[in-house]
Amino acid sequence: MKKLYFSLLAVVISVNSFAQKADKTLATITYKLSHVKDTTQRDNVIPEEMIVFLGKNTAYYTSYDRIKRDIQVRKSIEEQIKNQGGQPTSISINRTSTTPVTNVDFYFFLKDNKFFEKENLINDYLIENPLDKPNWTITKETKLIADMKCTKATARFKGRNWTAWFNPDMPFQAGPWKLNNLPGLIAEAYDDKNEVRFDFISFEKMTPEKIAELKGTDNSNVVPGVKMVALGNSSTLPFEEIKLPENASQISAKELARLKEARDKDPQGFYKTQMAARGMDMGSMITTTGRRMTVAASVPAVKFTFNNPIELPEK
Amino acid sequence: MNKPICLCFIINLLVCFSALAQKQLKGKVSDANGKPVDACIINIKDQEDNIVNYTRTNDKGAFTLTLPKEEAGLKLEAKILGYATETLDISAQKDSYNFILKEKEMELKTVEIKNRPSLSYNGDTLNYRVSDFSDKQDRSIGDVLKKMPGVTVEENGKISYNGKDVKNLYIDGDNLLNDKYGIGTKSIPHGAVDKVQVIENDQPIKMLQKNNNSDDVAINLQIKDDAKLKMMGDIKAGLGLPEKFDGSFNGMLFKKDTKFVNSIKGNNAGIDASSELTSFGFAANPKPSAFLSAGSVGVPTLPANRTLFNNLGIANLNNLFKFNKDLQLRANMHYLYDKQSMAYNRFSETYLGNQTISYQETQYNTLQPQRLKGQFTLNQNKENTYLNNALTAEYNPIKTISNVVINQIAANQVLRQEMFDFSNDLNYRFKISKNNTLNLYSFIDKSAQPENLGISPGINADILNNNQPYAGLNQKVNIPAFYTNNYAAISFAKGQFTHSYKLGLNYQNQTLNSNLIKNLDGSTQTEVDQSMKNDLNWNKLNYYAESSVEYSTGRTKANLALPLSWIDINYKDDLQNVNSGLEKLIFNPVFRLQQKVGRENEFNINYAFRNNVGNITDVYHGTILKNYRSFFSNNAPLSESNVHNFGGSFNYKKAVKMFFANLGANYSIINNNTISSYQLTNNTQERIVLPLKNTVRSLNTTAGISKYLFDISTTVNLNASYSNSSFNQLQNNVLLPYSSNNYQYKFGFESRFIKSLSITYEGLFNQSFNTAKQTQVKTSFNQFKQNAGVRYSIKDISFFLNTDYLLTYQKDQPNLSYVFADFSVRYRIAKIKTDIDFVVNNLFNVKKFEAIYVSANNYSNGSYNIPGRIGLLKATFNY
Repeated sequence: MKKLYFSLLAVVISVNSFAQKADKTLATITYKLSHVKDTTQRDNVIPEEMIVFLGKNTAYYTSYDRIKRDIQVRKSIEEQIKNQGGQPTSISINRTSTTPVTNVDFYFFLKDNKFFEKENLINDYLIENPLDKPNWTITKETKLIADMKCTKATARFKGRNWTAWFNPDMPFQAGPWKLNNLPGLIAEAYDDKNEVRFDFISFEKMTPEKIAELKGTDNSNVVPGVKMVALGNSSTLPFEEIKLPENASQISAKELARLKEARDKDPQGFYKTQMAARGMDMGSMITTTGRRMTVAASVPAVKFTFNNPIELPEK
Repeated sequence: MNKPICLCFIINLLVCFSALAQKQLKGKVSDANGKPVDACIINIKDQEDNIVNYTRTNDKGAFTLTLPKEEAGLKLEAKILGYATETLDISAQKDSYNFILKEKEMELKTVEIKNRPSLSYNGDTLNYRVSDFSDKQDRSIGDVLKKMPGVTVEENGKISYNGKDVKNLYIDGDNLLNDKYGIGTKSIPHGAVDKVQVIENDQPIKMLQKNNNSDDVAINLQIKDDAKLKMMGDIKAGLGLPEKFDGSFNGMLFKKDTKFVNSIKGNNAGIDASSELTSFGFAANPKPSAFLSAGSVGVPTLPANRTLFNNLGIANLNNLFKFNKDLQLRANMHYLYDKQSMAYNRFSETYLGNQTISYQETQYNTLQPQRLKGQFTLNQNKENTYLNNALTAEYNPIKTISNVVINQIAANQVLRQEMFDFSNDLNYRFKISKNNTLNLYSFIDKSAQPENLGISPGINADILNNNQPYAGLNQKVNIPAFYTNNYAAISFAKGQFTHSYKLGLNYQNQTLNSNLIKNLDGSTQTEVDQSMKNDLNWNKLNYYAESSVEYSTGRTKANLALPLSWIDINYKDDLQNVNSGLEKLIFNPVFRLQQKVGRENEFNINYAFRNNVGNITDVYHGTILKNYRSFFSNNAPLSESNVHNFGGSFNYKKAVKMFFANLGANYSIINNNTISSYQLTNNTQERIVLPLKNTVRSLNTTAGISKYLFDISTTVNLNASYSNSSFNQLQNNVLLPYSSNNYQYKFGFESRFIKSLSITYEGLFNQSFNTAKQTQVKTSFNQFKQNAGVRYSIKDISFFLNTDYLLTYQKDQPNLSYVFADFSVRYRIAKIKTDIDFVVNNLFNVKKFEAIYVSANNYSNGSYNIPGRIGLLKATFNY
């Protein structure tokens, strides 16, 4: 019965009803996110690097640290597969860090006024929402951020009083997290309680070099036929153009919450059905040669206290 | 405000708004071909260029926008990537504005700020990003390590971290350089290193990593991927005045299975490359040190490059090959040749209550050291077994020629020393069952050290030749030695505990041969005296059993070792009628505890009790002429001492804030049963070891802080230390208790506040007081040392100015102050990867340096000839 329930959930695959026009990826901007996730430990802030892929009408916000970590894990697996003659018997994933990374990504479609949250629970799930635009007040204050002249704007948005510094000379109406809709790219943003802050790191044009860096490989040492599930969103990153991932299932927020509940209640069964949805066997991966290999993650996921999300309920 | 008023106010506002009836602007944006341009940002800007309102065009290129206020000088701006920005003036009459945009190449320039430096801390590994701390003018990883908060780098390349010495420097996890990692600090280019990782509890043996009980600190250099591909390094050639040269070749490779750091260097410009051969680890096995010396030459308290007259050539080869993941072979070899000269003058006074012994000496020395060493290490490091075998051969011939004038009497000394050592160190561990391991260890060492000191003409004729002048003296000494240490240990791991039992024995055999021969007239040679001859054979056998327990969790590491030793010593010298020995059971317990407090802090406490017995240098009866003015002999049974040592430290760290602090104290009590008795005259000193119980107490405390100040990109260091020791001295038959106190304060910073300008400063204040408790003899000494450096870069040229200021002052003596300055210019020709350096050292051409040494009741003043101004022009090609 349980199994049937999971299967049903997995089948809630509605083809993306929203067929957006592809928008070319022009540039990326990276920020350092410093977020007080636990208000009882304000000093204990582990910074995370976030990246926004920028198109003319679109933007995609994700964790750069997660991308880097996935590259690292993939490289380590590929190396092990290579070292074991392409027929691996055991693979260990050495995660050097247990620091959690942001695992919910955002798609912005400015023209269509649409906003999607993407979350990965083995499979990608999308939740559609109208695009919320902060009601910015643009001030006369300016300052230099990495030699860019930026203008200060403020807005009350999703439970916090935000200050954003944007660069009018970069006509992208995007920014970090859910912040958007200023007449220029947001280079720096923070809230008035000093609990969330995005500091500018770099802005780069989308070049083949940058793509190679984000892919983390020249692909030559990839062993063909090995499909690695645990590697998050590296395959769906919008290197060329920003659009919704094709294999993602669009569900409602309610359904996603139910999925998560199911995962927490019976992780084994959950992963089994999720893997099945991708045509894979539980707990093992099958290579072209038909051998099974077991994957052992050496660092168990650590639960962190999280009492202060970026988005707060409006009082 | 009450409700009715409030309501009135709102109504009022509404009325106002409708009265103003804001104006709507609308329009269309299209390109040169009339095609609508969508997603174009439309701004209304005021006279000061402030954006007062904005919107974007829709699919059809159309926009509507509210004009928030009517005022003169408002503009409408259309902005989008790929087109030139257009502006139109807003006029009161007009409310429709159409833009036709010209295509323009998209300009997306990369913008970057060096992200604020940040450290990441994970368990017991601290990661520094090299790019956070490096700038263009840095060369080696050592240059960058210096700027990292919490890390200090000494002149010779030794690194310490938050008050603890760094034992090993790994390169991508491999211990290529062993404990002589100075060459790594100084020659690995910082550009090849991605991250510097400080490993706080380093345990390289895989088998022991589970219950890791180590408190060794190591640093791992994570090499960048692109630096792993091919060999890199540099070639340097430089010439200068007066008659100076400086050249080097460095070659490095950091591939996964092959790594090397090889270098050949030569210079006569005072650059002390021999420091890269300094070992930063602990010598595990005792070896007799050299007996003879050319005299009491102190090293001037200045950096070597200011004082050295050298002529040095060095080859330092370090190679590592990996056969597979677990098995590697390492070869570390070096050869050094140097010819150093030194001229110095010393005035020394020793205060003995009612008497002052003083002498004045002048020495002109030529020192020709050669050092040849090869070490071959095979290492297998697996989950279940560990094998390490190191074979070492070393040969160090040194020739010293010294012309001495003491109290107006001249003599010439020629000292030849030829140290030879051959050893093998084997360590093997394997699992006998899941949690139990067996460890077998064996060390064998054979060494010899023939020394020959010739002095002419004969000096101290009053003692040695019945007041008759004679031609010369010749002191010969050799100690051929054999040492072996072997044990088997078995360990049982149970949960967090590891119990070990060790059984072993070590054996030491040494023979001391010495003879003092005088040359009466150039052809007749006779032995000076039977009492100045030794033929001493020494055997020491030590059986030991040790039980130890280690406790290790993530936060607590504790270790208690209870070793019992049975020592059996025999020594015999038929010439001196000595035949004696010692049999003794000794117990040397050790306790150590490391406890983590909070997320990143830890404290350590340790206690050790140790019984020491003397060695062959404490029991020879025949007098040995150590140098032209020192006669050493013994007249006591074998010395015994015991030591209580208490230590504690606290290390505080906040990685995110880049704040480091440490506090440490160490107290020891040494109880000796013998004492050295000195007979001092103006021309000689004689030392005899006599039986007399005495106690030495010493206390050392240190504190240090290091912090990176984000707002001004500066690393600030602050250190203070205090040491006190109380001991007894027996001089000219007077036994006096002494107390010596030493305070040291250090402050320094490294700043990169302005990108093109880097400033470094270090100030060190040192104060010592020594008092003899009964005679009120007091010596004291204050020194203030400062170093400041400024580096300014503009494009490819950088200027560097470095100054040293040294001030020594004390009561009733004139102050000594010195200022040194160096200047250099570097021009980087990026195209051919070459740096051209023009260096002038010692700008003020200081040629003489005076220094003061103070100890207990001795005051001495040395003055040295130092190289004056040196100019060098160098070219360094990096590949």
